[in-house]
Amino acid sequence: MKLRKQTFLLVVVVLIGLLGSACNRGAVGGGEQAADEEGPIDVALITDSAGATSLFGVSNINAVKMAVDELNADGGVLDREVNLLVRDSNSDPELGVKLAREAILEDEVSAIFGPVSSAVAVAMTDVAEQNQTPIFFHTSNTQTLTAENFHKYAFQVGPNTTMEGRGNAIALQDEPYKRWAVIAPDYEFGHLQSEAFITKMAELNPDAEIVKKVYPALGEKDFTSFITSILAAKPDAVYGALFAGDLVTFTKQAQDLGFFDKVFFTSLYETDSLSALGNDAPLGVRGYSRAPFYAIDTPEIEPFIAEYRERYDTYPSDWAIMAYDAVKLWAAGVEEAGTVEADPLVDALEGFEFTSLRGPVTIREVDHQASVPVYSGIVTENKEVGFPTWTDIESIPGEEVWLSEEEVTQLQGN
Amino acid sequence: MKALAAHGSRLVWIGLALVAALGPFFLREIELFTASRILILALWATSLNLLLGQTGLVSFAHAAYFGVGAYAVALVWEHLGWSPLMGIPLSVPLGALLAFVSGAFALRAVRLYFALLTLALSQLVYVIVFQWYSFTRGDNGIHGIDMPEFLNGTANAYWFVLAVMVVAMIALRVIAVSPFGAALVAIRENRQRAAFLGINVKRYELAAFTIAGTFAALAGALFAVFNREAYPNLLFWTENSVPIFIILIGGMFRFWGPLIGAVVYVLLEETVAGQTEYSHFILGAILLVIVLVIPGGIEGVGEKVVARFRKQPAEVEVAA
Repeated sequence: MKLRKQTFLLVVVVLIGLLGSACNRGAVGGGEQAADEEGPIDVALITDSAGATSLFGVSNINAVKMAVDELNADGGVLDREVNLLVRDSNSDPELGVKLAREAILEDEVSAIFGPVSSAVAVAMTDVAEQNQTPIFFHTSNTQTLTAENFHKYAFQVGPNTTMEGRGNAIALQDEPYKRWAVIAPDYEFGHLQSEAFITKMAELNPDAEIVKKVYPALGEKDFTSFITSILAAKPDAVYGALFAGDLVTFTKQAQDLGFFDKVFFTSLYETDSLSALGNDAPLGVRGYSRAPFYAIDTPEIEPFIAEYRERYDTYPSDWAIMAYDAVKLWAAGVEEAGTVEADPLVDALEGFEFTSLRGPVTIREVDHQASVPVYSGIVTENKEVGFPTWTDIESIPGEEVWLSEEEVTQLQGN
Repeated sequence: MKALAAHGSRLVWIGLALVAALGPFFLREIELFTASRILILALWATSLNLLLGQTGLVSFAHAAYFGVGAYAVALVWEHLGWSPLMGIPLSVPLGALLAFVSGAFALRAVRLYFALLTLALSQLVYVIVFQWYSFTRGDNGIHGIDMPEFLNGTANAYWFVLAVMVVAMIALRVIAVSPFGAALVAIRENRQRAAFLGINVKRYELAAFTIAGTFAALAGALFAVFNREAYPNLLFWTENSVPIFIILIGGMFRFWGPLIGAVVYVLLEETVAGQTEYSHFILGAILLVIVLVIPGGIEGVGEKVVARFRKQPAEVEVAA
């Protein structure tokens, strides 16, 4: 009797297993496409269009779709059509890993365009490395992607956290403030970016001291206690690494507490946040960002803005501009290499000079970081575009603020 | 007859293990990830079932032990520069110690209050992992753990997980059918009567809790080795529903129930649930049906079908 029962169980298990794997094959499908020589080239955009950073993911998707459509309208890449897969990693590193793995192993994509969240990016870059698939980061910018966790298949077209933090310190070095407080989201990006600012500020302005650091969780809903504890430390100025939905929430709550009347404040007030804030935007604070469309003066940007506005009836945010650059960089690299194969593509892109929407940039060989600038300016009303933008814009070239090659090599070695 | 039956069932399991070992030859690479997930979740759920099915204790701290095991692997690599595999032997005493301490604390209460205490303790561990940025890297978790050469390649990593998992399952099986295991069943059936028989109920419960936590940590260590990562969400309290769900699907009154449950759960997750945004809704609905219609889980149904076929009553629930 026992034997019979166990046999029955065995049959059940095997049946379920077979059924499951059959469904799986049916569901995933398309895995056995000829990926190498002809037919469409599959690429994937895995980004976060839900969760705390959703504001930026939508811009990523819009711009990447537009870039791919433009490539196809021009006859594709290497005369092959580009087929774009879009996946939502929902600010969840675990999901990001799973989607990247599926895209590489099942859909056999030739390249991945990365997520918004740096936490997702750090998890995902490892999958790309293991499977030797090129991955292009444009929005997530933690320095570890180009330093500690760097691998030869990873590329960065945005300024990384070190460049951003250092650039902000340079832009603010002549401000008269001595007592600084820092507020940053409690994860990869927030810690690294604000530390880069603190270190550079200490170097440029030895009189400046940090009187308070607070790290609210990413996606925090109530900033009141953080705001009051910052104000209690009586800083002259507050450096923020808050962005997207968190920055919008923070700004509204800070305004109710008179925060902006008491201290100088700077944070990632980029296009999406400013348009989300609209009339609630605190005029006169200092914003910084990575590619504000109104701060860029290149021949490439004008037609891009026009086309983007026509397609989506909105101005392109920084996250659209950089994601677009990522796709165009990949395409230019593939044309240069003459193949979508990963290793020749990497060889072609190392030291590659590329005309981005932000002007000509070089992909540095040592860490595959693009020499892109960081921007900052004063938030001001702008009747023409319908939401606040900046004046007194400063842009600091990437070459001035990125890690030296020695610093990079040392971090990569660890 | 009985000897033959025991012999036969062993053969079935050896056969199954062999089929699993041949997995890399007939499964695609992505399916090996699914298969490993099944193995790891099966071990995790089986360890919890020592508490839930066998002793009758509902614990919501099992994700914490799993997570601690995973972090043992990640942290010895990150901070000590050791081979991450050293984290596996380390996860065992670490899981045992943590489970012993938290068990000693939580077992001061019974039933609902016990479950709530385990929940609180597990959240405590989660918050430590989440907040201690300099040590655990906080919300980011630790990714891209470098494994030794022989584990490179998904198939090799899968075989490694399978080997450790099989040994651990055999150990759990031995514990479950031992006199100690029988005492746990006695406690589940009637605490007072067990106490009158001379069983030190609290001490037995604490031992079961410690053993369960130990094996959960081992499952977590395997997770970190296979996936090369550990992150705080592994310890979040909602994660505790996963092994409980698996046990309920598979059947809590049989040793092999959670293994079957893990197969079904992961395949459900991959097929039905993966196709929609409302995956939790679907999984929840399935669980509801199972609990209402077949409270014994799939294992229980299998037995009833066999029993009806043989025109004999189903076996009464016994130790494992």
